[in-house]
Amino acid sequence: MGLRKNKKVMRSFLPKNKNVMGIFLPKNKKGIEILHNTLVFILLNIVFFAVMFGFVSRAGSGATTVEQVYAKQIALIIDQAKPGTSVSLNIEEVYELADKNKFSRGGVIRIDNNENKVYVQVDEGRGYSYNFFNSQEIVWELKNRELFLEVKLKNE
Amino acid sequence: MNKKELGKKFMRRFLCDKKAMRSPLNKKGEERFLTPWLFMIWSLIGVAIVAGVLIFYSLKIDVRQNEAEILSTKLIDCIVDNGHLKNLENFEVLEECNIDKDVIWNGDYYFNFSIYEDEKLFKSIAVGTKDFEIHCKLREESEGESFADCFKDKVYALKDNKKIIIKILTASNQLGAKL
Repeated sequence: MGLRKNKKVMRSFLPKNKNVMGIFLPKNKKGIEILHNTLVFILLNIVFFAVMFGFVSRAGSGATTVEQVYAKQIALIIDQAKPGTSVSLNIEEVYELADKNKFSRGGVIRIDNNENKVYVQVDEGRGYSYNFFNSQEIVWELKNRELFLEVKLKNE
Repeated sequence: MNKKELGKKFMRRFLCDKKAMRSPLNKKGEERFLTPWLFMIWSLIGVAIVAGVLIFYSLKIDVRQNEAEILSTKLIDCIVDNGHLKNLENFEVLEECNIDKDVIWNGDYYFNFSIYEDEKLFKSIAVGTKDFEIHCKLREESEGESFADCFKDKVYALKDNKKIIIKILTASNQLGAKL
């Protein structure tokens, strides 16, 4: 009964002229079925490609690479520096990623003088660390969009 | 049915033409997998995966060579002062050169410098993972990702106004760590 009622309702919505109906309801139902299957399949493939390319492009400019680049860059700067050297490094890119991931700006870069390690983190639960072999004391500070580094003699 | 007819039938099924659609042998599943479009899609997926992996691995940032070079410069700066070799008696190389003992001995670094006077070995100091010396030799012959990166240098200096040669080899295999 319910089905008949539905059909009635549908008929009232559809135009009475059969020629006009033909526009909306093509005769070859099997063809439509094949077309639908193919369309769905193609759409799924497009989604898959979009995800794949998204992943690849993110891998290039994403957090993992930025963390690695900055950790290694800072460690190399420290290794090369002689006592009395002051360096200021622009870390805008790190801040941008941290903001994107809603991670505190204060914790993006840490330099541990006891462990001789540089830590770079732009997201909760991830990060990258790199050792430096310079045994001098490293004084560091995050200010605005820059990291200030100062290499001091250990007993100074 | 001769070979020619069989071939035509196969082609029809492969290309999914109308006759083939009517054929009782042409099942829906076969249609889907034999369509050339699908082959193209799968090949594109393959290309995308390969490209993705290649790009990902090419982004690996390797600074081991630079690190070895910095270590070498630091050591030379430390033992040579204004072109003159410092007095190396009771010389604590790590302390004098401001190199952290724990880091150097954590298995990622190695350095060795030999001082030659009149082509005779006068003094040699080696610190760190000795295996890296072999890694350096192997690296000269083959490309191995797991081998340490090395840096070799030769410096001339003066000792009691006599020319001496300092041969230095430094190696690093630090890959960093994810937290």
